[in-house]
Amino acid sequence: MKYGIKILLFITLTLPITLMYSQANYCPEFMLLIQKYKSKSYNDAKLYLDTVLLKCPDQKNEAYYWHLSGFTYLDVYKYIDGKSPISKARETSINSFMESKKWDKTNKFTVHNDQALNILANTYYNDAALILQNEDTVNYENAIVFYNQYKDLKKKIQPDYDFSEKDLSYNYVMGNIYKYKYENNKRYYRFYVDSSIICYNRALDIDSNHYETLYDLGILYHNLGVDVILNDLEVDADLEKVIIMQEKAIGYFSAALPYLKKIHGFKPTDEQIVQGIAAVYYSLNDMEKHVKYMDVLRDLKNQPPSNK
Amino acid sequence: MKTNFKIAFLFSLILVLSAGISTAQTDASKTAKVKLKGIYIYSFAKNVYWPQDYSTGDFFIGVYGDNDLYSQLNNSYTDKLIGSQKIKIKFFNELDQIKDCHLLFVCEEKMKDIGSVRKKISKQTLLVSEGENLVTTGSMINFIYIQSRLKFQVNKTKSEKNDLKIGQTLTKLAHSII
Repeated sequence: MKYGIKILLFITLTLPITLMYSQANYCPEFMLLIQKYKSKSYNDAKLYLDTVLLKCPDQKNEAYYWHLSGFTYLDVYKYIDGKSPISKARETSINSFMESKKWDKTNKFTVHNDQALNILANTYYNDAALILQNEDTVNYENAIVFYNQYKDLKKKIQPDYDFSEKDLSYNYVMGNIYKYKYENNKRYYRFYVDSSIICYNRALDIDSNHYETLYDLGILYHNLGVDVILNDLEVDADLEKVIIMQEKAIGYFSAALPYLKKIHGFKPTDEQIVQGIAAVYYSLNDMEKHVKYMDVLRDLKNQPPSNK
Repeated sequence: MKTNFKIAFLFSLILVLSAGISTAQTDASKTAKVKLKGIYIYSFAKNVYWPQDYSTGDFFIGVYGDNDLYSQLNNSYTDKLIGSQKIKIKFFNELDQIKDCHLLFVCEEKMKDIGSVRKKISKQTLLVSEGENLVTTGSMINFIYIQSRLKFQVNKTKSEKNDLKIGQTLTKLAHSII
């Protein structure tokens, strides 16, 4: 990719220089800007971008000027800011490339502008991925911003891009993060559960058979049922309240079952799933089925590893 | 860019079973069930009225056989008040340990002893069981599970015959009354 950009830059920088000389609105500062850029003096090039606009205001309507501005800021973002997620240069670079596209009536720079924008879009995606990969419950809001920036930009350069696969992973991991937020403080972070369920369901809307989401959603529902009794119900609660809370818990236990049973169908030898189903039946006080699944679990555990 | 794409690739491959199911899942569920039962028993104690002779001194709740329930009751209700009486929880592991209480709970595993238990306690002990039905247990209150829900049956006739008055809350919320 690195070499690709260098070749791309060589072409895009050298061709229009000759054109610049032939133009009536010759701008010597622009030549200096190119020189600074080529010598990798990115901060100086940045300053010359402003000088060019000051001395040659017509350049603000030139696709090539913005194209060069885009690459200058892209390199500032890469080499000076060290690809920092908070680098302002990245945004400026994107805006410059977009501006270049706007003025590029003959599509002279379209391919290279789009390639650079695609690279920049991927940097947002990677920033989001880094946070989500660690299931970082502190910086997760940045991941949401980065992911949305990635999608917004990608849509501009590739309107028909299929985000399904990435949206699936994103929503699944966000579901986990919200779940962890809730688990960190069940009393005060109750609202995160709704966000978690929404994200898991979004993932299932994309792929209704997504194993991990079905698993985590099933377990989440079961745990919510237990939490209703263990955390939300006071030991001296009125009987009326006890009955209401019990109904709520049963609702959660019942909701857990279809998800776990579905993945049990996909992978009948997965011991964790069998144990999960057994736990749900225990909570539902269906001891016959609880014992049935515990027997299945025992058989699975007794199987030699080669049969699993 | 190469490194970044590697990260992106990893992201798309996140396949983490984040909430591992273990026996802890069932344990938590068991704890919840015990807590629920404890709350019911405490409510029975609050909503049944004993004869005057039983309204002084400490209020004893006995548990026959279920150590988890005993711990739950002991941790949550010891020294709480029923009227002016402080709650004390007793645990009986063997039949011959059983002594008079205000309320005695006999767990499912010990239900085979219910006949002998009845003979060992006074008539004013509110006998709470968890059997198939109230009639066969011979108790005054019986826990049953109906469609996954923990419910209770009340033998009002027998209770009143033994000078125990069942409060309206219990008669209103009982699954069945005889």
